[in-house]
Amino acid sequence: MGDPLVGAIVMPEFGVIIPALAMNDNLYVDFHAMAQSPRDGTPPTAHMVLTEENVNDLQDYLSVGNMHLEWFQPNDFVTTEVDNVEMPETPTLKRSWVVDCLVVKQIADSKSERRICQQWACLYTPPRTCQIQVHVTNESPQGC
Amino acid sequence: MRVRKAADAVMITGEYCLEEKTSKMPFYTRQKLLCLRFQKLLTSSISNDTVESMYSNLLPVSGRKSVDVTRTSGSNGKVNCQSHKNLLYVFHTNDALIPHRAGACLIIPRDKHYVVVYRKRNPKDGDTTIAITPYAPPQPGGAFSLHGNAVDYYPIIAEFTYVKMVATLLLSGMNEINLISDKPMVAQGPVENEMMNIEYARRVFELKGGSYRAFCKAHMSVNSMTLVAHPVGQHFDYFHKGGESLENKVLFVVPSIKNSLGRGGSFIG
Repeated sequence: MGDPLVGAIVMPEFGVIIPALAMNDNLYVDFHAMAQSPRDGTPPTAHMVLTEENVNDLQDYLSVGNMHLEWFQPNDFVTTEVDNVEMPETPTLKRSWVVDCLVVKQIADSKSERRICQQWACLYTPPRTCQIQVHVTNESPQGC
Repeated sequence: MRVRKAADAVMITGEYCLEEKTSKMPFYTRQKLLCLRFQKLLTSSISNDTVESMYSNLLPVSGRKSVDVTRTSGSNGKVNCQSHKNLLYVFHTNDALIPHRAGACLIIPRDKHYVVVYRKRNPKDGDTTIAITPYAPPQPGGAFSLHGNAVDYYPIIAEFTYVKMVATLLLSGMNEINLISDKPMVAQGPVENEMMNIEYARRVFELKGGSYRAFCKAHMSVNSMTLVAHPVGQHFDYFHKGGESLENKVLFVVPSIKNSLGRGGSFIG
């Protein structure tokens, strides 16, 4: 296995690094909404992906400054159960979802210069055993 | 108050606590969706051969003849000596780009992109004879509209689009709960836009007698895709004409391109 930070997505404004776990035998989907929103007035959020070189630079920076990255802990997340969510194919078909939510505070406003190498940068590691269980009464999308 | 292993998804939102309180961003929308991760697709694994096949078939239809030079906001990386060489090579070999049609060009490197200045061949009356086009450092991949028939060959693409609809409806449900409990809503604009796409796909689903193939194809037809085969540089997302959308991303490892370390690199974003 390579360095877990290689390929991770970074949001400097919020001090968050989310590792990518790209494996063809364990697929997952990420959703982001980081563009500027005319509808809700939120500004855009800068983001990037760490290369191997970036990670080496980051490790050097941290070691020189005697700093370290912190991992989010399970109790940082709040479990929310969302009931009666419509399924895509028809609004009459519903199911419940369990979502672990984490709210991170902004650490630099959107006008400030953004840096990725900061001692407050946190890492999020997803649990590896989560599964999506989709219950449909009709033909499943796998039959496409 | 802890991460449950049985959670269906994990959501990370960013709260804008340092932004000035402006009328453009009321309190109930002061959160950004940084990441909503569904841990598994319906099909949790895919063979390396299928990934190789997808990559080799999608690359030629992506970008401008397999090359992305249009994303000038920094996601293609910064301009440097290597990008100079790459750009000149691409200009030389790719006839979909301006220099092949315009002849002599002036190429000015900037921080995150190049400015290509050339003389128009057929300027309209009263129009300037000089044109300027920005080009990003070239990278493999780029945007493309995927034909719906691709789901016949690669069902994983249908699942990919299906899960996007699931995520939209989940976020919509969560926002309803948040609104009732006076909590900030998340990704309000993107969700509203995506709901329109879902309504369209639902109508097709009804018209086609409950065909999931037609359902996923309909939803794909109102979305565009981007093939990304490089680590993206720091950038802001931008949608044309003030549009908003949820960005869904699945990562594959292409064994022939990079040793499969199991981490890093992105394929479709």
